[in-house]
Amino acid sequence: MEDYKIRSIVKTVSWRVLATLATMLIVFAFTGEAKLSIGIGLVEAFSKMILYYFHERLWLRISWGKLKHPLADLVLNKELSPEDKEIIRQRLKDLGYM
Amino acid sequence: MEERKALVIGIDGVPFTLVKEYVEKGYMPNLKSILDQGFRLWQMDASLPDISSVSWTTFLTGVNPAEHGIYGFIHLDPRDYSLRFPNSGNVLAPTFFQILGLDPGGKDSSLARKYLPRFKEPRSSIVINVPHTYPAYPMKGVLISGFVALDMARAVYPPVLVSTLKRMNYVIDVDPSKGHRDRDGFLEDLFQALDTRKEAFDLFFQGKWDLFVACITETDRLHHFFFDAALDQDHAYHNDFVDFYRKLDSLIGHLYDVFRSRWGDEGLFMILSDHGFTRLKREVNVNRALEEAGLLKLRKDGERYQRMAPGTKAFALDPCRIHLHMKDRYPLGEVEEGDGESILRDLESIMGDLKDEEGNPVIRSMYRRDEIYQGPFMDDAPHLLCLPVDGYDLKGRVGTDSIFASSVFAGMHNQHDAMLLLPGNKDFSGKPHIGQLAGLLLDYFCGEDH
Repeated sequence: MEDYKIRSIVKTVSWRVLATLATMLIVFAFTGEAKLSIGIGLVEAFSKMILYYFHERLWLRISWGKLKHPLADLVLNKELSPEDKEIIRQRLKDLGYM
Repeated sequence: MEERKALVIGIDGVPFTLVKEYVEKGYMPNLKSILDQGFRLWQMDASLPDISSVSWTTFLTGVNPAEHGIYGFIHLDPRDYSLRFPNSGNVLAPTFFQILGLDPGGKDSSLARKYLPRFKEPRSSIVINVPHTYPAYPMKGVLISGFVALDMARAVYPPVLVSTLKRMNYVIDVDPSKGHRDRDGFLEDLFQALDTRKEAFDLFFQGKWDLFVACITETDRLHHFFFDAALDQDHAYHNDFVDFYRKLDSLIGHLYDVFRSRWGDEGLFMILSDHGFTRLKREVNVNRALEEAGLLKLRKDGERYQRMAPGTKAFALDPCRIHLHMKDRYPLGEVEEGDGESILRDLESIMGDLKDEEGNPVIRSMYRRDEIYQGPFMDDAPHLLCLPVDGYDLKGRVGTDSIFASSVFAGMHNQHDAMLLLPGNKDFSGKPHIGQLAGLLLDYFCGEDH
């Protein structure tokens, strides 16, 4: 199943908020400097958000490792071949339906 | 979640009147015993028209053809007059087992809108051999398609079960052409197919399910070729016919007993047929009648409906779906919207006056599309649908020499004599219709069946 672009965008933003908060907390824990923590957080937020979005769209094109429904490729109302049509016509005829 | 279980047995083409008579004659002791335990046998109306693809689809979806999109085994492509053969992919409403599984497969219907919000947990179903479910599609449970299925590999969901069924020598349908050339061999095949059907039912019965639908189609095949033997004790095949019904009765009794021993008296047990059957006297070529009335013009060359020529006002598809040759729908169509009413009145008069060589009327009732269909797919509906008097098999053949013809078949469908068996406490305000049963089943599963 494909994802719409809006889903990828919302995922990008939600993850970025979470990840940036984590980065800012870690920087603050190591340096004790609130300004530096916020600065690194903001730069990281914008740059990585853009990278993440393209990374996500790229992975959507790769089917490797995805769970696939066994009948995902079955086209139910595909055009019947002339042979299929003849078989159906004959069976319907044999039962008086044609 | 309260455990509710339902077993539905479908017996294709089994008429109410014959079952009633066979029960009274003692040919169906198991069914009699079930009736004695508080069940009631109803005479039921089938779909319009009364052919298996339409009737079973109406049963499974609980909506009429203008909502599920299936009007017959064949469909005329309005672009080039070629024949199309609809399959499960053309069913445009979800089935009750898709609704129970909480996965309508992207389809919508009035029934789905009513019932989907009432279920919180998905229920699983096992559905075996119901016609017009090919190709099998993803659903919660197991789906083994019935007639017309071309390839076992696409008739089974999940596909992993194909090898198991092949090992069992499971057959989707007997070869009906054998009924024309080797009647004894055909009968043997029917008996044998019933054995394999039982084996498959037993195998899947052991699984986990909430709803089990087991359909037997050999009855319909038997009737097409041997229905004249049903009540004629002097008929060469009468004993075989009765023996087949005894075997069917034994299978019904077996399934009922297994169901009761596993789930006690609580589960819902139902038997239905998709249409009735009656003896065939004459075939009636409706298109020939339209030709003689000047409403259908045919070219000499071409095949079937591609022979239609300018000047054609109406034509019929099997069994008697009469369509107006509308200007805005068909390349050669000439009927303007405003002329439809007068042509319809002509058609009603022509069909209503149709009599056989002995002066017996042929048509029992006629319906205009607005009277019987409602839904988004009205464009494909016949403008006039005719039902015959029992015995007259209406046909949509093109280019025949005469209206009336003898038939190689012994039996034909009828709409008014399908059968239904339900617990005695289930009631209908009038004669039940096959389209009501999906709602009844869904009511049962959401606990609103009181």
